[in-house]
Amino acid sequence: MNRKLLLHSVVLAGSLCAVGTATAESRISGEMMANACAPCHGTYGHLENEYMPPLAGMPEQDFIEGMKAFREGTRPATIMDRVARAFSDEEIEAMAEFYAQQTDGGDNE
Amino acid sequence: MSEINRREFIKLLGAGAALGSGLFGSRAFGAAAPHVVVIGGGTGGATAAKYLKLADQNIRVTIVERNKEYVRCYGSNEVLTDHCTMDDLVIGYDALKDKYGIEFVFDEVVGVDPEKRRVDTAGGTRLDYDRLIVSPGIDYRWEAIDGFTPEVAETTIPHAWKAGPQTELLRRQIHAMPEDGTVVIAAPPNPYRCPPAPYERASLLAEWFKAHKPRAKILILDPKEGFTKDQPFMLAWNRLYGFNIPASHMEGMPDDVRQHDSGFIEWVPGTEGGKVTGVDPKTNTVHTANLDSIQGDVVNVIPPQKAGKLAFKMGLTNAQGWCDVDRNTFESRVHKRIHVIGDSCIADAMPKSGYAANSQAKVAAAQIVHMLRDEPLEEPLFANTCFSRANTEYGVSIAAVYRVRDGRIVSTPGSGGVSPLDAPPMANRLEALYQESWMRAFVEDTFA
Repeated sequence: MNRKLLLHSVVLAGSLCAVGTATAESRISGEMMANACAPCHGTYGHLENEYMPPLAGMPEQDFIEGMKAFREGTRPATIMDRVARAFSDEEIEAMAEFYAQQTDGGDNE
Repeated sequence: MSEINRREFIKLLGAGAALGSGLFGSRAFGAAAPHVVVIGGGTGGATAAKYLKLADQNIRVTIVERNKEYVRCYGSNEVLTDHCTMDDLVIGYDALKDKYGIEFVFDEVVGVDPEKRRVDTAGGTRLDYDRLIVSPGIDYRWEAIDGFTPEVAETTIPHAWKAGPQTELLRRQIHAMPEDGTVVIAAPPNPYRCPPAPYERASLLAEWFKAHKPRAKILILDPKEGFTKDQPFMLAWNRLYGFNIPASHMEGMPDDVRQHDSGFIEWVPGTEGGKVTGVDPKTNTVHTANLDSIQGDVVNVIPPQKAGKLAFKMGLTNAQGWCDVDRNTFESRVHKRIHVIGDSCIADAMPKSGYAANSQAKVAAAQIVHMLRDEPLEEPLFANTCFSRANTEYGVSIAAVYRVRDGRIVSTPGSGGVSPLDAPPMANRLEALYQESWMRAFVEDTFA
């Protein structure tokens, strides 16, 4: 019980800390970042039959892991390694959340 | 007279709308919606209009544009070598009209009154705005090159820097020139629209000459000492076109770089006589700062550039001929409620590219929506990515993500850059495919 409570507080502190960092370093919205990606990945991530992947509706964790792997250089890349290095963990998470929500087929479809 | 009365009436309605937005709070603008007028239906203007409507259908958005169709510059080099036709460059405005409800006035702007917040067109349309976005593109500094005039460019020495009749003229000249002819490309000084384009143009011509005129040459005269993606371009030229990479650009080059006896492309930087100061259309000759005269079978001089004509007419430009703006909102430092985006605006580290205009347009649109709703502004983020083709199957790229720091737009430290010189052939092939996809996806994001 104590251990569980302790763990809970650590997680809570961790998440507070993460929020604090995001607020201090970046308040850029997921949509703002996704808009900057849209010329290659489509408006709100909607893209059909192209060599770049569509990002709309991508599960959050897939996006986060993919972008972090590009950033750390553990995933082979042509251009995305250069792009991913611009983003913090919090920013990648905000983009992931935005793209995961784009499940409606898109306003531009 | 009754026409004027009607306009006065519409103006009164407009005033009511402004009051309404204050009274009804953040999302509902009341019975009369705020009106954003966009002058210029190019990449910047089209993107801004679309993203304003995506953000809030209740905002009335009107684009004022001279031409009923847009002819895209990006990809227009491909017309020169028959990879595509002029028709392929034409983009209609139907999607922006029908899908998003953007209104269009196809007319020339003859007056903008920043105090009354009013735009007048040659055809007599008067538009009152809450916010005005202008995306005037570029114009040329003819006076920087002796003997170069719009007439010379239209008839003899095309710049072909906006896709149109000059693109077709340059194509005809290249196809008609002798088998062993020389094309002289005079590249412009920074800043100018689409920084990699002179070098992509040389690349595509070299690919075409290799197949059709194998003894032809391309001489690039450059006032600069380097250019965007210069090392990836030069490496590709060495591999594909017998180009000898100058010592100044050899750092980091891979082992397969070779010395060639002759090649299709030669590049002359400013310090070695690359700065063109004049042209003689009678003899197809360019004069350089080093007092050389160089004759070409085809001469393509791309003049130094400045903000588009409308920016000058509206008094939005600074002493250098570009428009100073608040980097968070793109609101002009000269006129309130007028936002300048795209090639005409000063955006520091960002290039004057279609991607950059698209990115700035989205930021301006987002901030304008906040301003109309009396909401706080948000922190902006911009990007630019450009794929160029060294040949049909070999692409090179540059990418950057930009932020505002201390009132200036800067590239995010530790990120971005050009295609690595040690990239495997697969990566160059992929970047050529990405160029194809980018062209479609970008047009879609901007105009559809």
